[in-house]
Amino acid sequence: MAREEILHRIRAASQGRHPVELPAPMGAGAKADLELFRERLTANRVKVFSFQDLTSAEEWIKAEFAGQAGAAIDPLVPAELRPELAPLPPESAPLGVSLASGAVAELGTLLFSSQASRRVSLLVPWHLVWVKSDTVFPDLAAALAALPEASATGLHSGPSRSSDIGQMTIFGMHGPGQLWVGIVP
Amino acid sequence: MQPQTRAYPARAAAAIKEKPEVREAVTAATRHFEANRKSAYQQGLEELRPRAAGIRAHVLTHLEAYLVQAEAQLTAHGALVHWAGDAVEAQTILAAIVAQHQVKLVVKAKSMISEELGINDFLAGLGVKALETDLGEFIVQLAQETPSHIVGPAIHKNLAQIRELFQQHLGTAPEASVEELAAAARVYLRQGFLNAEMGISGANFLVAETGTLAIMENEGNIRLTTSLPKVHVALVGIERLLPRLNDLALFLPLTAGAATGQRIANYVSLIQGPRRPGEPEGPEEVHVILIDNGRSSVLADPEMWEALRCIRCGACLSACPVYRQTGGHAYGWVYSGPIGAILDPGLLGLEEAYPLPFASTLCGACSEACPVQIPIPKLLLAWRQRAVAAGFTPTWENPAMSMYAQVMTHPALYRLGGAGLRLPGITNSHVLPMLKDWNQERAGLSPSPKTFRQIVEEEDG
Repeated sequence: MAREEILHRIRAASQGRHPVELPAPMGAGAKADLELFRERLTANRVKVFSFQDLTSAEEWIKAEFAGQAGAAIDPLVPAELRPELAPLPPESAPLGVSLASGAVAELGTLLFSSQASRRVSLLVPWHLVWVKSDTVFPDLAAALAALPEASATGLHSGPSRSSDIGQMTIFGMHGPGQLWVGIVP
Repeated sequence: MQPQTRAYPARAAAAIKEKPEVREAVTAATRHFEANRKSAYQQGLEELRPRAAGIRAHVLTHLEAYLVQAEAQLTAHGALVHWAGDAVEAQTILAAIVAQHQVKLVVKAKSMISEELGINDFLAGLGVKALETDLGEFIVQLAQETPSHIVGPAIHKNLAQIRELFQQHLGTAPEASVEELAAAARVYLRQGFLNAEMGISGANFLVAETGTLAIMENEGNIRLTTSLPKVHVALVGIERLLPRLNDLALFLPLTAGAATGQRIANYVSLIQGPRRPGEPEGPEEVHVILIDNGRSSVLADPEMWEALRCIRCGACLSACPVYRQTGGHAYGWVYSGPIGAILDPGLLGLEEAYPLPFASTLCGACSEACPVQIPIPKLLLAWRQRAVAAGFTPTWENPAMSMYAQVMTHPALYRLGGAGLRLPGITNSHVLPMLKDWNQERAGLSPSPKTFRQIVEEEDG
């Protein structure tokens, strides 16, 4: 059995070696700095929109996306935060709308549990993500401590990019080339 | 992948002579990576290096327990765990999964261990098409080459070469822009994501506490590879573990900073098993193949085990003045540059890879760049000593080294030699053959008329 052989080799290899102690874990902050979150998102080439209340977010989404041919909207997005557009599959929609399951202020990172549609957040060229301000964690250590119970979690920190051709950066390599974030209370 | 490591000197010489454009492209790209890394280290990562080194060393001294824990966690989440002692065993496991699901098309996320195991050629032999989906890997695959840098697989290729390649394979225009080239690759690979029955990835880390695979990238191809096909196979080296989920809060930013200077990779996939009830997507099966392939023998080595701390960020490649001259292909195997020079002799055997530890000026830039503080120059020297002791090195070197030892341990001989080299004109003459070689490429040597001792004594007196 390969398993037993490998474990045996590891045991033999480690014999007589001084065991190294495990260093302390990273500390987690208590409160997220929303100003820092916006700043880091912007540095990551994300376009950020902040709303004082749900009503202004609702008005904005109805107006801003009015001309689009349709959208792929994740079922987890609350009804009032959906644009009034014809539903399209993510493979052909010009726009995808999701709700983040969380976010990390320090890194400008959005979290998506696999309860949300990964097609909606990856196959569209333009991704709008709603973030509820009370789901923003101060740092990655805090976010990991509260990782959602799901088969997978994706961390997205900017539009899809590649610099594999001559170190010249292009956006929208495989995932969305435009990432917009709306922060609501 | 068949190692060509023994041919390093000839391959390096050929690369410099015949492909000057490689040196130019690699130097430009690595300088860029290196500048970004330095600025990330200055913004707070530097002080995390000792802690990261400590966590990796801790894992390696408790590896059996962490592997067993990771296996139990993965299994509890419904993932299927396999163990492979070598490449053949890994291929056999993969072949069984391929047959079970009647896989015809595989999408692949960039994975160094997949190169190590020769997965693409093996799948081709089974009649399965394997599509590399990282843009750099895709370029390298079209060119029928291998990756030349851990982070930038195609940094040895310039725009003109990539244009030609894409024109030939994807029908793009001869003067296509970078955006147009990327768009052509996107359209082509998108069909792969939507149609493949299997996705194959590596893993940056496997967290023992939770059985979580962590995979980093910038393009989104790994998110798609691990989300859309019905089967996901992760190839994981047995040394890739981290103890706690919290450790990702250190290692995700540190790896990204060391590799490209980013605060965190654009996309990180944290995976713990197949799709659960109520989830709209995700693979029905997740297989994790834990691979030894020489790692346990490196672990047993009282000096070289430190090399297993490596987190594959590529920072040492980018920092290395020797790597910059040739790029990665000259090294003749998957792992090139400074880390390759210490890892390859361990994984392949010293007889197979002995020239690599000599591909270094011992300048120390690699260990300064290494996020987990692997003492690369110390390990290079240790391999060199072993290579000399085993008689693998060129024959002139043994008498030269013993002469050096004689001179350095006998003060009278040392003084005599020093005085001899101060004779007028001797260093620019052809009396000493090594000096002739030196002078061909450099300005002549002009030794100080006084010895260092004399100068110090005069100043103190």
